[in-house]
Parts: sequence; C-alpha cells; structure tokens
Amino acid sequence: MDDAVAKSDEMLVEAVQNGDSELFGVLIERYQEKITRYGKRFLYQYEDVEDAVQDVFLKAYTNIQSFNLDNKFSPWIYRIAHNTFIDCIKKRGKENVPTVDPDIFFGNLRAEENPERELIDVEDEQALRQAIEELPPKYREPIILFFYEEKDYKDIGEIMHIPSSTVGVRIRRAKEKIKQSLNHG
Amino acid sequence: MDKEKETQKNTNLKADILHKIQAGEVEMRSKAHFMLKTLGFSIGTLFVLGVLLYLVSFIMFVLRANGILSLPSFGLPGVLILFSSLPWLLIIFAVILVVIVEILGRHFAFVYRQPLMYSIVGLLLLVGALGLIVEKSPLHSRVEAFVESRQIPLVRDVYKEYARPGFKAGGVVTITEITDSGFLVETRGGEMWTVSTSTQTRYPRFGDITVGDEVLIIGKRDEDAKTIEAVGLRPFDPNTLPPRPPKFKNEINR
Repeated sequence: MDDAVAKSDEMLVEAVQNGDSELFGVLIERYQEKITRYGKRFLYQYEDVEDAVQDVFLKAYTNIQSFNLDNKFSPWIYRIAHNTFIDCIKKRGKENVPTVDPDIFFGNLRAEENPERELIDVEDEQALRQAIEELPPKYREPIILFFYEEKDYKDIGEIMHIPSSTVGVRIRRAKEKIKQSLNHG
Repeated sequence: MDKEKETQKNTNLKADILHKIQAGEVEMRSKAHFMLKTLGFSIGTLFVLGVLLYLVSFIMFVLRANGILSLPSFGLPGVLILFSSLPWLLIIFAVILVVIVEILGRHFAFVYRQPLMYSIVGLLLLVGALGLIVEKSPLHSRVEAFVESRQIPLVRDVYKEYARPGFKAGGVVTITEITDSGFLVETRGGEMWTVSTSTQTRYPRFGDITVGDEVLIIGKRDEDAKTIEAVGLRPFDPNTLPPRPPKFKNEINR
C-alpha cells in the first residue's frame, strides 16, 4: 500500500482495472475532499451532497473499465461528478438545466484563454459566496471549477462537454453577474 | 473536533465503498460492455447519417426531376413558385435527422469540443457533397424503376408523389400538339393536359418549340379540368432529367 502512494492516478486505475480493487481506496482518498468541496459549492442548497459524492465514486468504480489510460484521470472523475450533480439538480427541479444552450452554438475567438485566477477583489467573502450561489448552474459550475478547483479551460470543457471557448464566455458572463449582484447588494 | 469529525466521515466513505465492492453490491462493468456500447453508438450514428444522406440525395433528385431549380429563370413569379414547390415535408424530416445526428455526435469528443455551428455546417457540407454525388449516380432512377416494377408499397408511393408529377404550379411536360391558344401536353406522370398561353406568358431562353420537346411550364393549374394558364414556359434539357421508369418489368426485356 505504501507503493500505491507513489503511483500516479492513471497507474492506480490500471491496477484497479486489472483486478486490484483495494487500490481504488487510494483514489477515493485522493479525490474525496476535492469532489466533496466541488459538490458543496455546486449543490449549495442541497442536503444530499454526501450521498451524491458516494454515488460519484460508486459510478467511477462501476465504469472504471471505460477509462482510457492515455487520458488524465482527474477530468474523467470530475465528469462523473458533473453528471451526478446535474442529476441531483434536475431531480429537485429547483433550477433550470437546459439540454442545449445557445452559447455553445458559436465559437468566441475573443474569449481569453485562461485569464488570471483572481475572481473578484472583494472583502466580504460571504457576499461573494452568496453571489456565486445565486448564479444559474451553467455559470456557477465553470466559476467553481476554474477559481476553486483550479482547472484550466480545456479540462473544464472536457468535464462539461462544451467547447473551451464557451467556457471562457461563461466565466466572463458569470463574473459580470457577480459584480452586478455585489453592486446591488 | 470538527477536523476529527471530517476525517471520520472521510474514512467512513472509503470504508463504505470498499465494503460494497468486496460484498459484490457494486460491480465493475467489463471492457467488452463499453466496446459494444461504443460500437452500437457508432453504428447507430452511421445508420442515421446514411438515412440522412439518402434523403438529401432524394431531395436533390426531386428538385432535378421536377425542374424546380430552373424556376428562377422566370423571374420573381418563378422564385415565389420555387419556394412553394419545395418538398417541405422531406426537408423538415431531413432537419430532424440532422438534429438526431448532432445529438448522437455529442458523445464523441471531436464533436463536443467544437462550437455547435461548426459541426452543423460541417455535417451539412458533408451530406450536401455526398448527396450530390449520390444524386448524380443512377441510384434513384434504379430504385424508382425497381419499386415501380415490383410495386413495393410506401417507397413506390414516395417516389411517385415527389419525383414525377411536377409541382403545384406547373412541371416538366412533353408537347404533343401545338394549338391556336397554346399546346396539348403529356405530363411525366402520363396525364394529358391543355396549356393556354397569352401575351403575358414569359419565354426565357426561348427557341422554337416543336412537338416532342420537353418544356418546363409554370402557371395556374386546374386539376379537375387538367388545364394550365401558362405564366412562363421554356425548353427543358432532357439530359438533365432522370430517365423515365418502365411501367412493368416485362417492358424492360422487350
């Protein structure tokens, strides 16, 4: 098990695929905090975050043979988390999650690729948190993934299955909405 | 204390999941399962794409067989008739298939990584180009002849409905007799009609029209009286038309 600590995520997945289920526990240790943090911010008003996080790992195990070892593991498990959390939102019916969004229609060449990771300079963290929570899911999620989970546009695009240019557009619009919300608040 | 609780929760989650795995409550799906799923998806997408391609080529075949694309040569009246004569039901069905192909395609990385407009335009260009190639081939003429000779229902009805009788405001006809007030004509569906002309009738690219010529006529049709008041009339190059299907299989062998 000490050897496992030195192994990369992808090497651990390969071992699990080959039958060493115990090593899946190491992957859980590595990603549980991240996925839980992502879930708590994305599903802020939902009480079943822990159940959802458990579902994420159960689905990851069930579908582990579909993982391509040439890819990175992190976007893959975040994609499973995205799908699970979106299902939670749809089940509750409190927020709208459209299947197709107009902003994936056109590429936006002006969307800055990976701007600075400073969300908004504000002293009141609570107000900022509330402003983020008020965003619709399609804007809230990329904000969380970029500024809190420190994913880049390409990874966020893989997680949300949208073009990376659309990621930039949504982050820019989300920041505008947050600023408006903070100014009115 | 909170940190201890958090650590305890974390350990519990890992222990719960590993216990479920060991107890067989959750099982790993096999690699074969995913390979079959991908294969099924790919085949399904290709099938829908194939149907779309056939439909697009059929629409092009219809436009050519009915002379619809020549209508703008009659000016504004021709353009207006063109829009009302397009096979809208087929076009709507083609649009639905494009949407289905896009939805299926979204499962593939090379599709969802691009803005939707790029994949739609790419799909339309691909299907348009391939559709043109298929349309230029004898495929539709042969299918038309086959379904006519074998009397295959539904497919025969579709070909009969769209490919031969012309369009609402006219069509391609053969001159059978020249009269004082116009012409007697035979439609591609085999019906005999009377065409009346006037000083208002347009004759773009007009040459001498003789008996036996195929002409494109637009005008006001009376289905009951089998008459057309010609608004426009022009010679039509029969080489651009698909050949007529034989009525019965026996006739091919005579």
